[in-house]
Amino acid sequence: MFNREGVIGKIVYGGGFVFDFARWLVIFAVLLMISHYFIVTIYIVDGLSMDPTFESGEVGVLNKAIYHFSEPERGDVVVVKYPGDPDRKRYVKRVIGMPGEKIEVKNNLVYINDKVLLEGYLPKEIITIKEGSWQLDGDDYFLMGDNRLNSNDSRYFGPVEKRFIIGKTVWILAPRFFSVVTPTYIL
Amino acid sequence: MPTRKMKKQPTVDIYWRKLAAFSFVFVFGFFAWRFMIEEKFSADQVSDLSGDGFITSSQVSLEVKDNGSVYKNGQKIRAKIKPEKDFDELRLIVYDQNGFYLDQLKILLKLPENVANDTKPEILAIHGVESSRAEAINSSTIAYTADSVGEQSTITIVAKLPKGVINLPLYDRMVYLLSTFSGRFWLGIAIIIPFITLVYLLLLVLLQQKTQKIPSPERPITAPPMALPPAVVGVLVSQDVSSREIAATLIDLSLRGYIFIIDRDRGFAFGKRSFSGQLLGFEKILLSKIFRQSITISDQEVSQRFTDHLYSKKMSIFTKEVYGLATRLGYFKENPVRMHRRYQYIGILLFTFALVCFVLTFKYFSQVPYATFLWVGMMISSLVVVFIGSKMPIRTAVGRQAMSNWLAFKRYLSDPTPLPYEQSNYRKFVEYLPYAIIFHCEALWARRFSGQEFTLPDWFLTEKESLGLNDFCLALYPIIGYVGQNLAVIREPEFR
Repeated sequence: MFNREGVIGKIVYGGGFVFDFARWLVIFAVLLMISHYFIVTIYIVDGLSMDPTFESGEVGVLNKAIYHFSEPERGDVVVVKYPGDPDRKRYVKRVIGMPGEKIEVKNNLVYINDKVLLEGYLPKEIITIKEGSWQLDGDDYFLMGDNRLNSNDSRYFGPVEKRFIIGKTVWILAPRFFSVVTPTYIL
Repeated sequence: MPTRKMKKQPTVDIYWRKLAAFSFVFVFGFFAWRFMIEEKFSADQVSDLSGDGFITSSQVSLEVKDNGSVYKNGQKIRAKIKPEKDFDELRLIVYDQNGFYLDQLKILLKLPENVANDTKPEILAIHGVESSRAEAINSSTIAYTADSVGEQSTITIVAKLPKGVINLPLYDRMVYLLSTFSGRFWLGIAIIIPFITLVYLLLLVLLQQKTQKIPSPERPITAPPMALPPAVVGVLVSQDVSSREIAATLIDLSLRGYIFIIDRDRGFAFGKRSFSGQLLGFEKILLSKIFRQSITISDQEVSQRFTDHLYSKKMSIFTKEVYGLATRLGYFKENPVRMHRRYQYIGILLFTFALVCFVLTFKYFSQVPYATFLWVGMMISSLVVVFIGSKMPIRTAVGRQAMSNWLAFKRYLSDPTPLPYEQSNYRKFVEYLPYAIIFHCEALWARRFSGQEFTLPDWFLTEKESLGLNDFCLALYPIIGYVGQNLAVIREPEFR
């Protein structure tokens, strides 16, 4: 019907697919990297220190943008860079003490400014060990795992500055599925 | 004559699902990869203090020089002082799960000036350290002490030195300076860069349009200024082959008696008559894309032809041929395909550069992660270059004069005044319809015939009775629009 060879010229069939696929791939890679680093990402809980709230191996959703617009609240479950090794280690802990507060662990309980902190999300039988007292600076947060008998947290490595907090856990996706709600405290 | 059974072509059919398909593949791959490498955040437990009863102690001497370098027992180590807003910070892991028990670990940190009392020291000791403390022992030395250090312990010392004690290298100070800019600042940069690129290119296009001014037509002309295929007119006017050029070519082929369109209650069909040697190359290619051996082809079969391949070589050739013909007629200084490709290459190069910098910034400048927005802005700019660059006018004087004549004809087509009811206007509607489609004024052109009697063209077959002009338009436009758009989208990316 027509001189196929003459009109095909330099068209390389198949190049379009590579180009289009690469284009979509790059766009998604960039968008996902932006999301991962700045907005929202997912992670796996590794360890027992948040037990029974989070179990080891559960997949969480981390909101990384939230603390650009608001401050961490007491009860938020946050992911922090461990201040002793901020380039490599990330911990999942709950915010217990806020900037400027005096935190005390004694008699198996947590005291905020000399008032006992009632934590309804903890199992009734659990006790808080490692007694001590900490005065938080204006940018410091006191973090603890919910598994008070077996959690490496601010009781051991001290308060954590806000710059080390990466984001707030908002969902657990799998194998259980639930929204992580910040509890209300009466102080 | 028995119909030869056509060999069924493989169907891929992911055009409209392309986004979803690519997204799924990439999202899945990306998160799998992230999981594999690092996204395990520790709900860290405590470790028992354990020892074999063999009492040992160790002392480490560290020294910070005024240029920020750190020495351990006289040997320079890779530790760095990092500038912060109110202090310069040394944060150094001195004991990391070394596998043996120490009764006591003592670290002496010597500072370059007598500022020990103004320096805030911290020791972070986890996983089996009984106690730890940090204190200034003289005006220039801080002692960090950890007792009963377990095999799995990790000990980090921190010294927050007053500003001015350490004279940091220029590079570190530059990185710090960049890190002080907020995310909003970098976001602003990401918006401003493409905006500036857009404005610059638009100005360039306007400047070119000014220097290559199209002579303004004095008055409308009532007939096409020359016998030119509608697709070529479209390229002359817009420097682009779009779905409209394809649709207009289909109607032009119908007018010339090569094909006919069948309007059905549900769907449509195309039929072919004998093809003669009068067909142009790109017209033959378009017909060969739509038709196979049979005389007619239904809408389902046409849709099948859209999805035979991910990309249509024939439609790419169609586009190339139309551009080539317009260039051979002397309307352009160079083939518009070449110009489009040039801007595509510039855009791709710019995009690739920005992408590499984007990744490198995450990897090597983690202190300033928001600087990646700069590269995102550059990526968007590269897309702007590809899009706007292809609009740069490249018409020759001949092309500009021809375009002026065609614009005069457009004025006639889009004139809101109804045409007088005359015998000479009887066939004009369908005759000039391909050009009206090219000029985006098919609705205005139809309005010029409101109130006139309309006879259905012989190339449009329908079971409906007493079809008026509006009914004809309502039946025809969706058919050719659908076919034109689908044929346009399956071209290779460089021809879109």
